[in-house]
Amino acid sequence: MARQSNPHIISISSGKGGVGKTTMAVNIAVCLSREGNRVLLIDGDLGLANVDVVLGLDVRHTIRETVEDGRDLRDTLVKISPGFFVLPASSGVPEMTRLSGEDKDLLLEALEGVAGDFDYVLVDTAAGIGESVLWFNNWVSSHCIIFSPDPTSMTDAYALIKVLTTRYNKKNFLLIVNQVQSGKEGKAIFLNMEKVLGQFLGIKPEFLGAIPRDNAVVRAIRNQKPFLQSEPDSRAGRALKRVCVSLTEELNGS
Amino acid sequence: MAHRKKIKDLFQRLEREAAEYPLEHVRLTDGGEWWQGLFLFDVQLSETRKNFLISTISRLSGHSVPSGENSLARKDSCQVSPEERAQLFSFLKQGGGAD
Repeated sequence: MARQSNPHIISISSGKGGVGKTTMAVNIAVCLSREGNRVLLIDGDLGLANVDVVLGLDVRHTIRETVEDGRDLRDTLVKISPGFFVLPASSGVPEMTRLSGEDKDLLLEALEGVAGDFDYVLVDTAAGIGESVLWFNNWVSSHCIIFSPDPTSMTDAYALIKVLTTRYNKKNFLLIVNQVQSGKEGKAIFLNMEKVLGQFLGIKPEFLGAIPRDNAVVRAIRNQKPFLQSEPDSRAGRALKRVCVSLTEELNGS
Repeated sequence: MAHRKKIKDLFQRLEREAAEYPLEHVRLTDGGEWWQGLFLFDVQLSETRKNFLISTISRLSGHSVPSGENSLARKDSCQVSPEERAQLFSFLKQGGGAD
């Protein structure tokens, strides 16, 4: 953990909750780490954390202790595999969703200190467009937005992108369409979103791919395991690997 | 209600004091603290006018008003319009690419 790199810092957001954001964040982190990268997954849902639940972790320390007591974030890192680390957050702590400016500065400094040890830093943000979601998205350099074919999910993803574009001048959006019936459907949904984003916001998002509805994902969630680990050759597993290839190509300019 | 009244009062005072800078360029929006995010500046508003309004709002409200992002320098509303929604959903009404 000695090296200091210039990591790719990416938020994983959705607007609407329940579209598979945390599941995707965990599995993307697994996939990237299996390619030999050092990956940090930050649970950015500071008051209602879920990354530990998806991974079946028994968490003793969280980001909260850094904010409240100044605990070194490195002492909170949980090692999942040789290249994959998690920074867990707290659950049921509404105060963590309303951090003061001073607390945010402290946390940001701590996060930047830790981030330099990794190649990829993923931030699994909360749902919605609350303060913490916007704050984390303002910190990162790329924004991975996950949405499903559900009209409410599309609307919320669009609204989030609109806020980030309009108020924060963010432009780098990488889209994943989750829970699709087919790759064809996923691509068509992306193209429609791309058209609307271009027409109204003047931005051009990148398509990372689509993940099909797959019972392998449901089984993995119930077993608190990444589906890439429990059923790597499932339809969702194969699609996720393609998403990771697109992501690394996009971030590394291939 | 106290929150709304404070906003209304401040807006009226601002309107009186900033008469030379028409307030059609300034619109109410939501915010955390009562005075925060109260105003959106039209993209057409010049920096001079924007700075004047920021300093006037600071003086009238008694709060230091940041001029960076997520504050009074907001360029426009983020409300998703009916036209945007219609475009988002038009695709689904056409059959949506499902096999």
